[in-house]
Amino acid sequence: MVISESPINYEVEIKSEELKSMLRACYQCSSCTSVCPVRRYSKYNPRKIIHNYLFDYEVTEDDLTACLTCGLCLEVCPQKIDFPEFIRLSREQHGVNADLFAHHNIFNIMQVFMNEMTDSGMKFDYEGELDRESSIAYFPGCIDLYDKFLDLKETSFHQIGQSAINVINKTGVKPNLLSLKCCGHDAYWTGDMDAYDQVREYNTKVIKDSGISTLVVSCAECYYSFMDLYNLDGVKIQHIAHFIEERQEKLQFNGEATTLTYHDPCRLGRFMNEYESPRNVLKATGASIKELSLNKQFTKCCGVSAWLRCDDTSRAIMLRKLQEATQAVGEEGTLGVACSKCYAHLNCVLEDKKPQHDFKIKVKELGMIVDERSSSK
Amino acid sequence: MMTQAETSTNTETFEPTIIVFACNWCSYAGADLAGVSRLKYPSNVRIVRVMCSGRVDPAFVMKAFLKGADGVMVAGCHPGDCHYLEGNLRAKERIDKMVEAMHILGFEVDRFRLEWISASEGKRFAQIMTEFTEQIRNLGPLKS
Ligand code: SF4
Ligand code: SF4
Ligand code: FES
Repeated sequence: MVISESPINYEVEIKSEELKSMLRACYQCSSCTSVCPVRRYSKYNPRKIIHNYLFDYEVTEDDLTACLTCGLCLEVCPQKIDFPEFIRLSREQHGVNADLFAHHNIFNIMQVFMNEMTDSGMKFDYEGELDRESSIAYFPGCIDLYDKFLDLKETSFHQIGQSAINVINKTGVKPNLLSLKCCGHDAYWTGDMDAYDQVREYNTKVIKDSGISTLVVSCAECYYSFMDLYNLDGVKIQHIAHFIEERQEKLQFNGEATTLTYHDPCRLGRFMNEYESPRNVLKATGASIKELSLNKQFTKCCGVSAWLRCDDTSRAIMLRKLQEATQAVGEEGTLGVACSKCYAHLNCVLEDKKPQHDFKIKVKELGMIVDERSSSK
Repeated sequence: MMTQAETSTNTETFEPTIIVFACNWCSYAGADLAGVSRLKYPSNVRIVRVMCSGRVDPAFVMKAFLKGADGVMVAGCHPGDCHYLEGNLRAKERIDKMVEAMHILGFEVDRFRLEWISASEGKRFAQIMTEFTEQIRNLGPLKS
């Protein structure tokens, strides 16, 4: 559905009773609009969209696609209106114009390609001690594909997976490197349920058949998808932060003093309520954490979600994030993230440099930070 | 409606659908030359003219496969001859990475080719097309 060439469709025709019933409790207080990160830099207005939807006024394609589904509005809404879920369902019902995806829609095409053209999971090429029989598995996610399609010169995505494997090895575990397809998070959140269902079915089968008891992932989106969307009874899903936290006594940290700041990815934070593990892990490495001015459940999203609409608003949100991080830890500091996507978006805007900005701060993924700052005991 | 790939598998010998993205200034002119010189090449080849091979995004190639192509080729000017200086070099860089990505996805990369064909190489154009069509014919249909 997502790869069709529909003409840009300005007005959304489909309005469903089911979705209206989700919104009826809204009392138009505008708390959502006041916190929305997209609102900061555009006229995007969740409160007004709800109003327009309920009263059959015009709701546009823009309204459905500009939302980052970050969940911050849900956090502050007194009526607990699940606006991101409303957006997701309307995307599912209405479809999303393929032209609105970043990078020529390559990541969506990839998802469909993965489903329709191959019978296997992704083939990974990592160094380290791996064991096909191990009950602990690691899945890097689709990071290797970012290396191939994002034109970043100084950022390695492969390194996220390599660092995770290094750290897992340092704790004395030889993981089974599981060859899955992409977790399907983006297909789900852009409403492409065919692609999502297909990929979930495949992955569930591979995970169940592999006989593993624990699956470790690096990406916050993989973690959220496997935990919340899939039904993987009997398999423990761990974000790399959990894995390290659980086994930190097996690691020797070099303890070099450093200050970091940490950005809570929406899928790990607001969606899964995991605020402490990543912080504990970073602290265990000997780093002191200077918090961002807005953190934990009030963290502003990194700026793009599901590769949809990376535009000037997204860039403004990302630059603001870099600015806040710089304020917290200074020019030479490091911003730690626990999500491969945050890592991708923020590094992408960082590499743009002048004339857009002059930030020197580094953005690193949690596993990478731990790998750099530890050795095995 | 049946896609091209489906209709062709119904016939006895398999007739693959081949999409060629050819740059306007060299390869497309090469195809023209092949035409005016009355050289024969298989009718399986569908040419999509682009201004420069650098215009071809990996997304185009992958989408061509998804929409039923059995083989895809990107053809541009020889290195150094690109009319936009280094469009073809960038195409190569991008497309090499796409091929690596296809490996990661577990897709047969022998269904894809990148070729440099100049405006004077009408004969070579016809040859390459014949050869590539044969190669894809031997591989069989992409989606069975
Ligand atoms: S915060 Fe909740 S109740 Fe208030 S306008 Fe937004 S959706 Fe409606
Ligand atoms: S989910 Fe995030 S981006 Fe979407 S309306 Fe709510 S606060 Fe704004
Ligand atoms: S103009 Fe022919 S490849 Fe650039």
